[in-house]
Amino acid sequence: MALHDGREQEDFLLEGAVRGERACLEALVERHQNMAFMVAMKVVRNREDAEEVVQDSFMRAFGALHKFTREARFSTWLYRIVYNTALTNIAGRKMNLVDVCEQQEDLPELSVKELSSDLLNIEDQRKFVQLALAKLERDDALVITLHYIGEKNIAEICEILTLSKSAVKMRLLRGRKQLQEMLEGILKKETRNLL
Amino acid sequence: MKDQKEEDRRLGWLLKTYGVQTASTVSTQRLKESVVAAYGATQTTKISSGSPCPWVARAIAFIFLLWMISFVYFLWPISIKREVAISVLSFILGLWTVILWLRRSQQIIFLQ
Repeated sequence: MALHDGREQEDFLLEGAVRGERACLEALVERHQNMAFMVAMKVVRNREDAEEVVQDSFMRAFGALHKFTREARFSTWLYRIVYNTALTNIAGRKMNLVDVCEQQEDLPELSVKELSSDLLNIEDQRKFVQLALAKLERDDALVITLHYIGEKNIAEICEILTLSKSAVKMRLLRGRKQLQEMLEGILKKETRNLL
Repeated sequence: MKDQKEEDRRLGWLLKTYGVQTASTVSTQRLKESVVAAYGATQTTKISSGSPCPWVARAIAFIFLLWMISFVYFLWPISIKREVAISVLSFILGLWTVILWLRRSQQIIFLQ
């Protein structure tokens, strides 16, 4: 029912956006901007570039909204545009690989397992979770982000990343395992908090 | 199997709570403004070009133009009284201004 309502609400917003209604356009931007930003960040690994990618993608998507057939969900279609724009962005940067490697080297070693998780405050936990995500391979991190944070199913992830079903499943499994290993300490603490 | 599901659920919760990255407020505002400005404006043109209004306007303008030409041709009002020509020109200019003003206000309504 909630999904149905969500879809209806999305349709309503899309119709308004096609008519050029300000409120609907703003609502769609607000709804999808953060997830689009995360997708872009996973590819370009740089805040400024990610914001630029998101800006370009939204302009492209809204410009082609009349071509959107609604076979897929709007978010799936939008994130695919974001992913492709981000890929174009890094392809345009000749120094891209060097940038990414440098950024990876800048990240401190994760030692959550060794740390006493009780000593970690919320901000530290946030930092460690994001570092753990950054340590994953690009596509693994994308699959994990889209599945857990974006609540996308396997079929939708396949469509966004143009990967096969088995590839997505494999990346999801691998990413999940790596993350669980890296975040074992925090996960244990959260379990205690939940109980 | 149950343990795996539970671990999966916990990981999902953890990622949703601590793994979300947000764009800066400045870029969010900028994005909203550019989308509204660009897309709202494009849509206005699209809607007006697809609606029957331009055809009605063109038909009225064509009839009006024919009437004006025949008026000038048969009566030649300028030779009789200069005021007539001035008033006719003022009428055309006034009508033109009203049309432009209406179009602009329509655009503003779409942008809001």
